[in-house]
Amino acid sequence: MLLCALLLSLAAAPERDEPVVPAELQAELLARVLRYDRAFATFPSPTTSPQGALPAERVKVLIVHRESASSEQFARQLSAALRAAPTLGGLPHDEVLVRFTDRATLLADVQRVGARVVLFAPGFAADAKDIATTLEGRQLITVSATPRGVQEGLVLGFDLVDGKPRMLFNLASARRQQSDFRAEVIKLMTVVP
Amino acid sequence: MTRLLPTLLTLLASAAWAVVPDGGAPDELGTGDLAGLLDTSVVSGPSRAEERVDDSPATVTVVTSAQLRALGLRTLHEAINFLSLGMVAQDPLHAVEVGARGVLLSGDYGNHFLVVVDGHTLNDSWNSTAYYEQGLAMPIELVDHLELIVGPGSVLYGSSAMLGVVNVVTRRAAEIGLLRVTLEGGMLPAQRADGSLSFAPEGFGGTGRLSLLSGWSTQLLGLPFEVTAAGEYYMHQGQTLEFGKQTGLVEGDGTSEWPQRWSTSGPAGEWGGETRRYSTRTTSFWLKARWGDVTGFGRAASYSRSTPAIDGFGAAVDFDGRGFERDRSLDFELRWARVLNPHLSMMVRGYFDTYEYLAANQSSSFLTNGVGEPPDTADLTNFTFLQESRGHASWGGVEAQATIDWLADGRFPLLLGVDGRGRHFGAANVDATMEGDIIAESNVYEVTEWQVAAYAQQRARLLPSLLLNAGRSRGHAEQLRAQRRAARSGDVDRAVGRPRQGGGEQRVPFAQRLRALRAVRGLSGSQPAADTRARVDGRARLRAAPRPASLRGGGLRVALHGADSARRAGGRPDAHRVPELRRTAEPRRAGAGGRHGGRVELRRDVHRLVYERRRRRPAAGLSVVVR
Repeated sequence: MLLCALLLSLAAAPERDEPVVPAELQAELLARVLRYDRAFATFPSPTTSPQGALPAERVKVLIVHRESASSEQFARQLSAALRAAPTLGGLPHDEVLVRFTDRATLLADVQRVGARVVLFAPGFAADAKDIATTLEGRQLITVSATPRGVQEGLVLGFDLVDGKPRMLFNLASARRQQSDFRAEVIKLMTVVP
Repeated sequence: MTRLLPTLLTLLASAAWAVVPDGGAPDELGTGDLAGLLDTSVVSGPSRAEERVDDSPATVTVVTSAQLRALGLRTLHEAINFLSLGMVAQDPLHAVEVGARGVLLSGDYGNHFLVVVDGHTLNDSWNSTAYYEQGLAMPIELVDHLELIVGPGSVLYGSSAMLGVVNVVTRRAAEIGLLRVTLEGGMLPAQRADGSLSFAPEGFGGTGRLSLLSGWSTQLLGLPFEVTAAGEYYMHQGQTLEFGKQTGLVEGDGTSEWPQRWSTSGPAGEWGGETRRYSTRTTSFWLKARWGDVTGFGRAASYSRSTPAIDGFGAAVDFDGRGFERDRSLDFELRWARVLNPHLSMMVRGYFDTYEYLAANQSSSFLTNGVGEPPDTADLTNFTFLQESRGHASWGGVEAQATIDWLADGRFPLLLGVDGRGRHFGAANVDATMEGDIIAESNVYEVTEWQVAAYAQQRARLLPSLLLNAGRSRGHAEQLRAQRRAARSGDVDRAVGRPRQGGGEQRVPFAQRLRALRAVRGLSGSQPAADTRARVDGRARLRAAPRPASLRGGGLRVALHGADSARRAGGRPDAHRVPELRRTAEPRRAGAGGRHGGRVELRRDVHRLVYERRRRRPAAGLSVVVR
């Protein structure tokens, strides 16, 4: 009985909720992959006026971390790595680092910042499903630093297989968040049902 | 340095023009750049921290488990030979030897490379031997990927990492699944003296392997828990080989080193017949568990083998005798790692490894291989005796490591570590009659010592495409003090840790004494490890208890990466000091080799310039990387 119970519990074992891809590489992958999101590309872009090109709109990136030291450390690393990238999906960008308290506050932060991309540092596996529900219908991309976050409903995430990075993609969540990635880039991802 | 300066300046100039990846939108969206980025390996060996392979301060080849499967590779040495860059392995049938950048030290049992599995060193604690064939006693299915790191890694890993590091990263429990079974085998027909095959059933040999892997992961008391268990049994029994009869092989005739008798019961002076002496058996069990911040690791392994050949050290054995070698080892580690705050991470690990070696064979060449006085009744032209070599070693220690992230953003992490251990090792060689009466014991020693070392590594990402890595280590090892004294007094044999050749005091010229001293210094200057090669014979025990000796190492290492498409390789291998170390006791060759070396590797995607100046071991290093 004990063995059966153990096996059943193990069969439902969760995926990892720790970062396995270095923050610098996650940032670089994100900066590139967002170019293939047609919805992201329609984000307000430089417009041409009779006087010439106007400054481009800047993409706001919200980086959310838990209270834990490991989560905050990774969020800071992500923020620094993103700041080093001149553009995100071809657009200039700004990062805002916030600590997660509850979903309502998160939603308020998203609205206040005008976030187009929300990055979740490690530690959100248990809440990822509810967070995805909270942000449903908003035109933004949620990104998990850990593989498990994608399983739970965030749109994009990163895993390490055979020592190489893999992008995880939650197709259903992407549709709900109005993301529209090109087929050729989805082929490079591991699609999570 | 003068000759390298123009190259360095050229590479710096090219780095200044290097294109910084900005993720900008090209006119034609192709996925090639993204696919290329996804093909970038992440390594943890060179800096003991996760980083992109092209950010690492060493040349690294990553071999994935997919490659191992696709190519049917079953051992480390196959992976090294098929896929590595700058490393080579050869299999002389008793222990695979590995070299790098043109240096392969025959007979070193691979102990100038460090084999690390999930951060735990598997070089044995006796002679620092590392196994790359089945002797590693590790199911290949357990491997997630291999990092084959070429170049000295002594700053962070100790002196066994002299030629390089093989960092094995195992699979996580969830990737293995509840049960994974591998069963494979094959058969070989017998071979006659004329080379033809014989398909008689009794002559067949065969190979079989069974490995079982299991991985579980769950939540335990609110914390992630995972456990991986693995076991492997490998057996190879060589087919019957027939060697043609040869006569006239008399001991001491100076024409051959073959035994004068084929077997203990064979006629004297005749060699040849059938043998099935090529065999290998490996049994191993692995257990790894992780619960929250704590990781435990355990391994038990046994590796026994015999070969149908005279070994590389001239020991003549009877082909149908009961000769074999056997290694047995037990390894344990308990590790705790945690991010304490965004600025500080800690890792502490305690470890214990014990190792036992036994080589036993029957020899009929007493005049060549025997020690001591044989029984009065022995007819040395027709005398078979037992030879046994035993070795054992154990060490236990604690390593503490702190990573200070000055800006808490991953750009300027400082790694500080200290590793201290106690070690006991010993050996004995015994010659005995076939009835078990001991003829002589030799090379008997038991040594206990303490070793401690500290190391530091500062990494800095100065610009998105410019990285700096500088490291320094300093070690103390008790036994090296005696060796250093011996070197000063000109006792070269003791200085390099080998049995004295001939009797009496050795007095050698000053220049050779100096080289011996330099060689001993070359043995030190890094983390403690058996690899300090602090072998001492029985005489060393007569000395007063040795105090820790402080030996420093120094060097400069500059690596520059850029983005260009030229291809050139050359220069002197950075391990050029190794052969000099081996040559110390041979004056006619001493002095060869320079004191510094440079190397330029310009591949399609990487620029790397290495300049090294090493009087001793590379216990300090500097690396500049530009992508």
